Amino acid sequence: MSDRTSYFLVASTTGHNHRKSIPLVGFGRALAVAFLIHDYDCIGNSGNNMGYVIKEKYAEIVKIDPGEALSFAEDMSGAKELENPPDQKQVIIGTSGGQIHFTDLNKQDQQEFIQTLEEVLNFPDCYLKMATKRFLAPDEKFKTILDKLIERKHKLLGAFYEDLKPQLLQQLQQTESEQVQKGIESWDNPKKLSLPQFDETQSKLTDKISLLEVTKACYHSKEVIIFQVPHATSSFIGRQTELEEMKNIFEKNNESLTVLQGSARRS
Amino acid sequence: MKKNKFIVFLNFDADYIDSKTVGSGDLMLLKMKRRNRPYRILQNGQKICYYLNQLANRYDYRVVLFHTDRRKQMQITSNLANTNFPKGAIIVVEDSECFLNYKSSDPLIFKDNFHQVEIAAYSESSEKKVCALEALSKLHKIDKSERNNHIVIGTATQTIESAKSEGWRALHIEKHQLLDTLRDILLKEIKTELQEEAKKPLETSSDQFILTTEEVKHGSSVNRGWYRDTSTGTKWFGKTSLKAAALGSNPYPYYSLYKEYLAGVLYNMLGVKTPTITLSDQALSEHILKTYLVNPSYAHVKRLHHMSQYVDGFVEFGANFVENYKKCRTELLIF
Repeated sequence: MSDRTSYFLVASTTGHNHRKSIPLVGFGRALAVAFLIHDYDCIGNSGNNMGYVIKEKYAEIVKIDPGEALSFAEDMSGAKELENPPDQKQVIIGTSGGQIHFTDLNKQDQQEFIQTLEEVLNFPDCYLKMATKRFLAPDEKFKTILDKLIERKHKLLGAFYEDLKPQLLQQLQQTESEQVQKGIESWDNPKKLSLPQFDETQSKLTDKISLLEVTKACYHSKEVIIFQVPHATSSFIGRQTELEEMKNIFEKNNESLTVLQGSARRS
Repeated sequence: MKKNKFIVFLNFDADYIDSKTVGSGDLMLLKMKRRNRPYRILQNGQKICYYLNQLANRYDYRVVLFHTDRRKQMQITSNLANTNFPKGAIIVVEDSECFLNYKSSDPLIFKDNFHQVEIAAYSESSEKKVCALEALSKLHKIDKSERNNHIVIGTATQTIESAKSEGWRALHIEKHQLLDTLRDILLKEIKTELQEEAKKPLETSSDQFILTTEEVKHGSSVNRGWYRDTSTGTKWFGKTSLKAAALGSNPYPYYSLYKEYLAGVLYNMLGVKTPTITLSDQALSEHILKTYLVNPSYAHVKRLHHMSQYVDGFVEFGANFVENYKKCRTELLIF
């Protein structure tokens, strides 16, 4: 039996002027990125900032005019309704405060939204730095934008922890069951029999799950600071007092400290 | 014109397709005549399609699928055509019954116009060389020196070692590592793109665009207009910021234009289709000079404009989209 997947359908006109409905693809992804970069006008009050192009069998989302995105360095104290905090799990879509909650999305778009967050989890912070670097010289405000963007990334992942973790665990389970299957196929042949080993993919997946746990721990506590070095999954977590002390030591030390490694998990 | 890079899946039907229950993220590729396991699927096919489309649309990769059974290949090609799998794939088939006497060094080359795929077919197999890659090289005239530009993915250790020794960028993976491998390839491409972009100047020459007389129907951006790229003839939308237009100072405050540009880069980097964008100095119109009472000493100074290329066939959501979306819960069978 095949699964059913829900899509929002848009009208398309074919060569003979026949109108038919085709699925809209990419809406969940666009909203996830809009949420990450705090694009509170991502669709626009009149729906002018997002749209689609018709492909052969589906319509693909196109995002235009992200002029209000990344407004982290501006004084937004007079526009509380546009704050768009990740823990609300709803994306502000226009300057008049319209919103779409995660649960308003259909199944397909929810899956896309979560898949995009999984990619955000994979996305090293250094990529965000690389993208922002060229604007730091013309305007120092981009330093604030970068810092807030990285902070928002972690908050967003923390807010969707409950949706993301099952996805990662499912992937881990898939890889393990494949190894078990392989073992079963060759169990009576000692030459071929290989015991399941923890491979690179599984290692990456457990790293991701650990990183997500760290993100969640930070998200629920104001007592911790997260440091991330320019490696995808290297993070450090600790209590405020110890971290402050370490910070002081680093600041006093004139010699360069080249390597800082460590990890911690809090369940 | 950019040259295509190929991403080759060796033994596609044998190595990556499972007889399992179809999940919502999978792609159904074959219907079998078995009762207990009627479908053969590409697990996580939807995600795989996403990565392949990103690699195809943004980095000019073309997918090459190698099959060892012509009949199954035809069914799979037909079923893939109904999915989001990248269009314009190249097929290499090794089938001794169908393509007798054709060698991989001189394969039968033809086009399946209905599915828009190119096919190279032959019958032999060899342990000394990777025949599928030889046939692909013949089809697309890939020189030995270019082999390292193309990625070959496979689960058979010996074949991958042979491909490596022939000079291809070959990756040995386990079946469950396919998704992860594609993600890594995409991340590497993004990194390279970011590094290369950083070396280029931020602005495009102002001479590259000419303002046209076409009216901009709506919007509130300052000095907005339709431009034409003088080298490609393409249509672009350009605008500047209020501060940049109104202030008579130099350097000008271009913060909001840079911010919009960066947001476009981030959307694109995370897989959302956006127009091609650039920044370019353009002159202010007479209307803007009068409206904002621009100091005459600075009136002739061109201001930075955010330029975005017109997306052919773009349809705006419009005012009712969100309301309709929330109301609508259409269920559509994907197969």
